[in-house]
Amino acid sequence: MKRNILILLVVLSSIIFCQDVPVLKRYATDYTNTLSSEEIEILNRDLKNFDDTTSNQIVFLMVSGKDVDDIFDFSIKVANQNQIGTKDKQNGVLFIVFKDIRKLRIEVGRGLEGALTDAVTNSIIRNEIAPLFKQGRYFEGIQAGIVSIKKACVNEYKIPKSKNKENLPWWIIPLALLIIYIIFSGFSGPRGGRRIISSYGGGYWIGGLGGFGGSSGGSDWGGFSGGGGSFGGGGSSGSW
Amino acid sequence: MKKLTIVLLVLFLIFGMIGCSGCNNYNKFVEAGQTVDAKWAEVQSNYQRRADLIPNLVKTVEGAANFEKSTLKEVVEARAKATSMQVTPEILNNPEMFKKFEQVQGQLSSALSRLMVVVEKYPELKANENFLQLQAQLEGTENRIKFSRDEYSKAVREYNVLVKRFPAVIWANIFGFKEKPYFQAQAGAENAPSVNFNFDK
Repeated sequence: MKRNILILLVVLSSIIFCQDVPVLKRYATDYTNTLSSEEIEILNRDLKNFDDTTSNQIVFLMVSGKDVDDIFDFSIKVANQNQIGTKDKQNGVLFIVFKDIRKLRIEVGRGLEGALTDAVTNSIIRNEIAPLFKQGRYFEGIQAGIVSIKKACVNEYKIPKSKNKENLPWWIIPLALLIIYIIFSGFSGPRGGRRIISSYGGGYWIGGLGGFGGSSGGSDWGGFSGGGGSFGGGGSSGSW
Repeated sequence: MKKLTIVLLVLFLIFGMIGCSGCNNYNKFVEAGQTVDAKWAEVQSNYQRRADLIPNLVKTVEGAANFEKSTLKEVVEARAKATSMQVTPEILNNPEMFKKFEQVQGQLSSALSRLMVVVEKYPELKANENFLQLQAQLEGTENRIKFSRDEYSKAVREYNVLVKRFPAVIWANIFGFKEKPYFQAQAGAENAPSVNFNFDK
């Protein structure tokens, strides 16, 4: 009896996990161990940099694909559940490679469908990526693909992302005013007191700010988090 | 006299509660119905997108492939039928019309996939960049159709559950919120979206 329940649990959980799509934490992820960690790091840094400068989120994912029966269903699920791209611009791209079944797909967010049309993504797959993949040069193929996707994106979007501004907590403005007040009151105060107040106040607050900046930068380094983008089926698939 | 006041008060409370529940349900129906309408609009625009692609596709194929004209003619006719149909949002309250819409689009789907199979025989088309692009666009459009149909079905399921549940069903009847139709997978039509052309084989 107990064993039956256990088996049932295992079966159930395996069903649930099979349907689960990967939750992406980085811009480049490889579940097949094809790329070295340095190569993934290069891609990750490159894509993060692109996100920071243009706000277009390109995410790369490589999976085995053996247990995926419909690559379109799979990739659009991954793209939508990870919410690649920003909510207002819907400018996400998922570049997904199913290595063991030799298929790939570029999934394009709704906002980029005008720049990265189906024809463009198809041409990128056929002309840039597939020839290199055929020779087994995966890293080069991926890089070539990313370069072309980036070029296509930038034609339409060049809006600099002001991520830091959005992330500022509400108390930063009162805090800044307080600092200014302390500094200025220090300057305008009597000669003797000025130095004490300004050096004490300034030093203290600047130290506190430095701590804040460091921690937020650390958690953000190279990590990917979706911005609420959605996908409607744009993009195209190919094989090699 | 006092008794009457109490009775009136109780009645007032009961009717007030009923009224509240009615308003509440009404708002929910409207919201869910709006979602369905929005998803439907997307389905329709994707079908329109496909219809817009076809003339170009036909021209390209016609120019390069000199094969039996019947397959092309079939596509053109199916497209004409599909685009001649006037589709208003009212279609969602009219199961007959909805079925008809599905039927004509399904016919176009199968005519198109037949064309794509025939085209496989023409190597000069497979090397034609213009054709390859059209093919990619068509494939993308079929994917979009599939996705938007799924999304529509999800929205309809939510709406229908809302409208058919007890006691909401009473309010739905009073306000005239009817069940909305699903897409039926027709014989053969479910295979249509997989317009897969792997010419590199």
